[in-house]
Amino acid sequence: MQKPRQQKRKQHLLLLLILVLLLLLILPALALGSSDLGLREIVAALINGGDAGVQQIVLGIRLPRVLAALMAGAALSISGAVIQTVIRNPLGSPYTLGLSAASMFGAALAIVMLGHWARQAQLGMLANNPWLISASAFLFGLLCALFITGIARWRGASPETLIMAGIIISALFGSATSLLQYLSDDVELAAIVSWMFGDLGKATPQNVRIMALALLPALLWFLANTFPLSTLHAGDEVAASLGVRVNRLRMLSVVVASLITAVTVAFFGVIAFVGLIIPHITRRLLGFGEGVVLTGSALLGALFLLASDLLARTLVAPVVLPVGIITSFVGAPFFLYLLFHRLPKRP
Amino acid sequence: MSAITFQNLSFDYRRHQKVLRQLNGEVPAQKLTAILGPNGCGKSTLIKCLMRLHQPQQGNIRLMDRALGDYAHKELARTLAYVAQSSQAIFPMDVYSTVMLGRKPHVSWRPGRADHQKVRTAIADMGLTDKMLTLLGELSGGEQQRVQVARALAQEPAVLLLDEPTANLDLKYQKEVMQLLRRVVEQGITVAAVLHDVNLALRYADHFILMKQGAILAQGGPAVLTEKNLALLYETPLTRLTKDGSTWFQAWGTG
Repeated sequence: MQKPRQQKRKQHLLLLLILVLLLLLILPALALGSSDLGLREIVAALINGGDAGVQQIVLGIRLPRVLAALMAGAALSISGAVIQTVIRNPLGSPYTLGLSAASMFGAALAIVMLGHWARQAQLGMLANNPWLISASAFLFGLLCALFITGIARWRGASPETLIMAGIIISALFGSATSLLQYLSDDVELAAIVSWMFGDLGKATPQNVRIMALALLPALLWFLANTFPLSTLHAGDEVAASLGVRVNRLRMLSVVVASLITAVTVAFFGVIAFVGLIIPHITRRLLGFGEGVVLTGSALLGALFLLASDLLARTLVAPVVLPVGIITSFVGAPFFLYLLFHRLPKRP
Repeated sequence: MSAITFQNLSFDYRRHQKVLRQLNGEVPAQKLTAILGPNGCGKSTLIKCLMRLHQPQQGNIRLMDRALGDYAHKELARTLAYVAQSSQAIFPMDVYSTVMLGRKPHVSWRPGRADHQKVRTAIADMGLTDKMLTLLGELSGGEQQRVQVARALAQEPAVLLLDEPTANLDLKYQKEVMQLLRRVVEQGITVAAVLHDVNLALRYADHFILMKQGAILAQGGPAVLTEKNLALLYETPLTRLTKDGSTWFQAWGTG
């Protein structure tokens, strides 16, 4: 009979394998681009040596893109895993809670309203300003998270209430975004559509730094709370009987998960399906312990988004596709597969 | 000595219909108490009030001679364990991980070697060692209840409360679960369980709380299980039968 220690060893080996694959993918991701750079030049640039132009390309453009893929993939996947646990619903994700729809509306609103206002006030620099668009997306994502947690607290934080609130919010913000698209001119429409595709090409050293500042404390907080989170699998009453303050844990988890998703969506747009499918793949590969699901989701999410971005950059090169298109094409059929094979298996 | 006492306990969900009405009662220490009554009489609500999962509008509850409200969350979880009516896991969990949840009140960061040892002991006590890594969904109903009891025992509680532990189980597993609860009582743990089967309660319990329409109709030892009390309780005549020193109740006459 397999003992828990052997099972743990197997999980650790699989995590190590994912980490190795991730590290192996980083160098090709840094090497790929319109400028043909060799591995030696890239390594030299990374350790602060070599040609200044190469350094500018590697440190200013390619490294932020790779780090953005790693962090966005980890952030979306952890958010999905945590949300699925706290609302006790396999279909739970930042998207199911309406967060992406709210952020999308925030961006569209900034593009249309700020565009109009800036043109009227002859402040061209404010029109289509990525910082303002991102800030607006973040603000609406945050408002959505607070609204959902407020409703959940008012209604007793039941999983059904959270999902229902998410569906209503998604429908509401989806319609509002459609209205903005309908009212916008050709330029604004193009800007909204471009923002709606998740694209890691928007990564800069600055927004990668901000993302790291949001992601690292969130990751630590979740890892510190893996045991309380895992009690939620036994039901709210059992979790409460185990000394867990269920509503408080659920609220905090939703807010933290929503925040890291909002930061991702604000900087890189909507990257669909990552938060939904990666936690499921992790559970199938590694098992169901909350700690291993969170760690595995972070690593696998990072690997998945980095690989998807590599595909997006090579599939119809020299044209670079938005990575959100790749994740949707890969994620949607995979999610359908999951739906039709609901009983997860374990190694 | 009483493990739990409650006085003037009243609770309602919507403030217009009392679910529990001025209850006074006790759960004797180191005994098996059966809470009996028809559907909707407030048995599960009483258990949840005793667990502090519901906050009564009126009355007071004392656990081990201390007010229930004085217990910190962790301290309460170390004293009082709860087994819900059914396992509600959305994502599959194996036996070991489920029982490990019981160590939550004793663990601040992550389980240590002693916690793993206690989990193994609780699993062994329930006779589930060879199913340690089996998923709960792959176990029989009786085995699943044993896992939930093992999880509760891993909490090392003084009192164990169970909400219909024999619901949805066939006769063999009902007997298995009740025998298991007797073994728990023999370990010095107080047990109170909501039960529907009067004969099962009569066979295994020491103390009885009979509830009807949110009130306690009678409580005490086996002597409270009279034909009159049970007919009042279930609104159907029950006949007391005795044979070879065993007593049981029959609802459909003696023919």
